[in-house]
Order: sequence, then structure tokens, then C-alpha cells
Amino acid sequence: MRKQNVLTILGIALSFVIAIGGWAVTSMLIDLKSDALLSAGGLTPVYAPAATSSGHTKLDDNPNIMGEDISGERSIFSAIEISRILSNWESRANEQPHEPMEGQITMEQAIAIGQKGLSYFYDQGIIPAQLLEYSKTDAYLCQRQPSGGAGKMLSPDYSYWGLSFSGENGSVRFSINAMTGQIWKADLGINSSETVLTEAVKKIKAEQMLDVFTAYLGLTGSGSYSTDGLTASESFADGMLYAVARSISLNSISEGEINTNRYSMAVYLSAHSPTIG
Amino acid sequence: MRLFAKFFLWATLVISAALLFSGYLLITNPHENAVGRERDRALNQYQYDKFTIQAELITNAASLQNGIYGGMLNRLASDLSGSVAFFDGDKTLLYSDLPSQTDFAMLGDISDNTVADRIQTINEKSYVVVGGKLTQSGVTLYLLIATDISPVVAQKELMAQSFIKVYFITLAVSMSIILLLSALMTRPIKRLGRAAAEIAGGNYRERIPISSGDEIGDLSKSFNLMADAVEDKINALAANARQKEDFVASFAHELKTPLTAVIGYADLLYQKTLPPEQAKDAAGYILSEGLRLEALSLKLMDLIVLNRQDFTLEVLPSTALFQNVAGGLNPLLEEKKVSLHLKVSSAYIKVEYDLFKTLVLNLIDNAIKAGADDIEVIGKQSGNRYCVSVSDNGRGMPASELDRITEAFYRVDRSRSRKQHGAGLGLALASRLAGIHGGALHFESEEGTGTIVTFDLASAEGDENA
Repeated sequence: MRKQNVLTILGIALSFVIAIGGWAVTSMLIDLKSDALLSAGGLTPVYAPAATSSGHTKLDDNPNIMGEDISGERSIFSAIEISRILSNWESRANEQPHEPMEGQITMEQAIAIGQKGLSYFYDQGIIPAQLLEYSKTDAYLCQRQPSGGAGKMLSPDYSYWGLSFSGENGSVRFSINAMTGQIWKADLGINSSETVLTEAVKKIKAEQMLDVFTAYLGLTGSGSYSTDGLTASESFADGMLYAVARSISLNSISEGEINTNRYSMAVYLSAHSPTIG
Repeated sequence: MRLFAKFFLWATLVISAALLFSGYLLITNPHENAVGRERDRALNQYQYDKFTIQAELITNAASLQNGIYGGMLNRLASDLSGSVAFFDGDKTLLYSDLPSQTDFAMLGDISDNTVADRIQTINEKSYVVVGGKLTQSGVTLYLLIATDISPVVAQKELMAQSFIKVYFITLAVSMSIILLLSALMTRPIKRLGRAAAEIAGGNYRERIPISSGDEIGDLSKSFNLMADAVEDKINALAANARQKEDFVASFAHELKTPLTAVIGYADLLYQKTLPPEQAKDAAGYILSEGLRLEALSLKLMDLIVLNRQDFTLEVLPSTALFQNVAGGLNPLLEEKKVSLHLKVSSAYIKVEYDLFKTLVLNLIDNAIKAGADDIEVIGKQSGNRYCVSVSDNGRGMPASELDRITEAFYRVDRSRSRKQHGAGLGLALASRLAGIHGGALHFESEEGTGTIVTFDLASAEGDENA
């Protein structure tokens, strides 16, 4: 009986030892794992492998007037390929920055295209002169990677250079397809209290922006055309592509006697029909 | 070790192992994923920062050609999101706002085609430091970007602290429940043990209430069945022992009357010189009683020990049978000075000779012990039954005693019965013998007047005198 009681007490004591000792061991294992994680390092290749381009190459006879600085072979895409790429761009997938892949334009080329695009659009009267006075240039190359595809690069076709030229009066942002070197999207953000600039912006109509943009891209064979004054769109390739121009006054902010007007304007290619009216 | 302690120990082991394993996975997996995400984010941030610097180098190429990038680096550092360090192509530090203890050894791992990353803990803060080489517009720079991931580490610590609370609370609750459950589960087993001890102590009627249909309930049922079997066996053994005692007592009791006759006749032969006819009669009685004793011993054993009921009855003439009984009693009657009157009508009755004779002898012997000096035995036909009555003028019995006088070892007057060497078995045996003959004893008695005992038995067709 006495041995029985001693064993019972030992058993219960052992239970507590297991409970507390188990936690101590687990805690130690967690710390070891954490220490290993927090002292880890790695090497990542700069140029991640990617699927090959689906576009085909062509000598530089592109109707794009901006092409002289990127001479050589450049990809061109069919309407369906462009539509697929645009769908990816318009998705909410995360941006994955990367170094230029084979066949893609470099940052220098992208900046050159952006600068010439600014001049071209200014010449065509859809960018006010004040936006040419930028002080900072930013550029990055990225892809939008669908969820579940983290770490795996898409075809180079899907990459775009995001360029921004920022200045006192606002900024211009271009999305340039990294294979074709074409500007497929341009956002103009104007933030100015200058009456001259404001008046200049007000004179820019969506229809005018659309005409300039389609001419820049050399889009032909137009389908339907629609406009409500603020937004204009034109479809191409049997409705697979849309060229859209949008000019929207966002708001005005008054600080003392200074009245700041903010405008947002955009021209872009889209795989989807915009809402107009 | 007590069963509940074993339950407790094993449950603690299993629950602790399960909780700790789950906790380990719940803490380390998200932590590992979070660190991995932070590393990817840092690599992406490095790439964005690198693009920013490249763009700056492209747009300010003219300044760079003049070797003026000291101020530019300061401006760039303020534009970038995290802490940064710049090194020239010889890996000489140009600018750094990284923590001073940052280990720059990782610069050695950087090449044209690879970006290196290290997680470093500096001043109790953890950083993912990503480094790479940048060549643009004729300028080569090595770039280190540090991203603070201390919140991720703090999150892990927070999870670990939360888990320790959850672990010990869950364990405490589980242990309490297990203690309760083990107490509930072992209660029927303890009850089983107590019942077994009771039975071992001789209380064979102890049983366990069955309150569940589980294995414990099945065990209780089996235990009760075993207890039933043990009790039955013990009762059977006790009955057997009692029967043997009854036999010994009854046999001793039944020896007395015939032995009295045998001794009486033997004494007659010994004391006197009898005429040959009387001597032959006396020797015949002795022989007859001896043979009857031998047969009686076997029949009593069958009746009492083996509880036999199916004795073969034979048809015998009533007159001769009763006269034979009376003849055997002569020495006793003479000794006790009792007169026996036989008024027996002739008939054929179905009896087992030895047992019937024992029945009648017992009734007469009982009358003699009751102090009677005049006994009358009457036998008469009544339909197809033959009624026998033995009446005496003895002390009689109170009416309240009549129901119990056929119980074995029951004596109305214990002290007198002991003096007369009575064991209280005569009427008990007579009752069973009457039953074997298809009848039952009926008593009529009045204190101071006497007793009449009657019974009936089957009779065969016809009159023995016919």
C-alpha cells in the first residue's frame, strides 16, 4: 500500500514535470528555429528565368514614331496578345520588380521613350508645357504576378516600365511595354494654382487626347466610338482592345487665398470597355 | 500506482505532446512564413531602390562624369524607404545610415549576377540586409539596403507568450477534467473491489448495481453472474452439508426404536429360556429389524442426502403391516408401560414398506415421548384413500406450535425433549415420509388432553379378507 502511494505521488509529480519540461523543451526548440531563421542568408540571381515571349520580332518599321532610339529588333503583338497583357496589367495582382530580361528595353531606353513621349504629347497639345518642367525621374520594371505564382516570372511580354516625371505642377506617369517600347498608358496628374495652367488643362478635351493616343500607337480599323465629354473611347480588333481617354477634374483645395486645382487625365489601352455616360 | 494516477500521467503526456507540437507548428510556421515574406519584401524593396538610384544616375549622368555624387547620395538616401549604405567599386564605404554594428562582410558574396541577403540582429532589432551591385552610366556602386523586421520577431514573441498561457490553462482544465473522469471511471471498479472483498468475507448476497451499458457495466454484470454462481454453489454445498448432518441425525434417531426392539428381544433371549417357538419369534424380530435397519439406512440416505422422492410403492395388506409394526414395538411398549390399540380395517395399501413402517413408528414414538400411556392407531378405507390416525392421551401441544412441529430440529419442550434424547427430527422425517406416500400429516392437539395425527395414502382395489 505504501509503495502504491509512493508510486502514485511519483506519477503525479512526473505529470507536472512532463507539462513544465515539455514546454521548456518546446520553447527551446522554437528559439533555436527562430535563431536559425534570423541568422539565415541567401543569394538571389539578378536575372530570374522567365517563359519566352509569345510576340514575334520585327525590324524597326513600327509605325510608332517614337522608335528611333530603340532601333533593332522589337516585338510586336497580335490584338489578342495585347488584350491578354492588358488584362494582366489591369488585374489587382502584386507588382514584382525585376531586372530587364532578354528582349526588353533598358531603363535608359525607357526613360528616353518617356521623354520623347512627353514631347510628342506636348506637341500634340494634350500635355501642358508646365509638365515638361519636371525635376525628378523615376523608373521601375515590373510584372504583375497572379496569386499563387509568387517567385515564378511570367513571359517578358507582361513586363512594363513604370516611368514618372514629377515636377512642381504635377507629374506624368507612363506605362511602357518592355518588349515593344510603346507607351500603353499615360496618367497626368496636375496640381497647380496657376490660372494659366488650369485654363490650359481645361481646354484639353478627351476626344482630342484619344485621337492623339490612337495616332501615336498607329491603331487602325476602328470599331465603335463613344464619348460623354469627359471620357472618350474607341474599340479596335473587333472589340478586343479599347483606346480610352479620360479627363476628370478631381477637386479644388483652398489654403488661405491660394486655390489649388487638381486634375487627373489619362490615356490608355484597355482590354475592357470603359463606362461612359 | 493508482489507476487515476496512470490516467493522469498518460493524459498529461498525450495532451502536452499534442499541445506543444501544435504550438510549435503554430508559432514557427507563421514565423518562418513571415520572415520569408519580409525577405521577399526586402528583395523587392532593394530592386525598387536600385531602380530609383539608376534613374537618378541616368538623369544626372553629366554630374557623375565629373565625380560629383557625394551630395547626390545623401539626397538619394533620404528618398529611399529604408536605411542604406553605398560603396564604390572598390567596396569603400561612401555613405551609410545603417546601424553602426552592421556586418558588411556580405559584400563579399555579391557578384554581377547575384543579390545577397542576410538577416542581422543589431541592438535587439532584426534587419534583412540586401546587397547588390549597380553599374549605370559608367558608375559602379555596391548598395546595401536594410529593412527592419523587428515587428515580425516581436509578433513571434507575442505568440509564444500567448501560447504559454493557453498551454497551461488548457492543461489545467484538461487535467481537472481528467481527474474528474478518472474518479468517475474508477468508482465502479472500486465498487467492484469492495463487493469482491464482501464476498470473500462471506457475504455472498453482495451485488453491484449496474448503471451503465459500457465495458464497466458488462464487467459488473459478469461479476454479478459470478457472484450468483458462487452463492448458488455455496448454498448447494451448505445444503449438502446440512443434508448429511440431517442424515446422520435422522439415522441415529431411527436407530433407536429398532434397536430398542432388537435389544429387548435379545435381552429376552439372553435372560430367559424361551420355548423354541417364542425364541424363534424373538430371533425373527431381531433379524427382521436388523434387515430393516440396513434397508432403512440406504433409503434414508436416498431421501435425505439425495433428496429422492420417487420410491417404488408396493401394494401390501394393511392389517399385517400394522401388526408387524406393533410387534416390533412390544419391548418398548412394555418398558414404557404403554398400551397400543390397533383398529385397522383390512385393505390393500400402496406403501414403501420400510419407510411406511418408519413413519408409523415415528408417530407412535412421538406419542410415547409426549407422555401417553394409551395410544390408538386407526386405519380405515375412505373412498380410494386409506386414512391412518394415531391418537394419544399425552401432554398435547399448544395450537400455536402446530404449524412448526414438522420443522427439523424443532422441539416444543426443549428440556424434556433433551432428556428423552429427542432431536426434533421424528416429525420432520414423518412429514416427508407421508409426502412420499402421497399424503400429508395433520395435527389436532389440545394441551393436557392429547394429540391426533392423521394422514392418508393410496389404497388398491379390494379387501384383503376377500
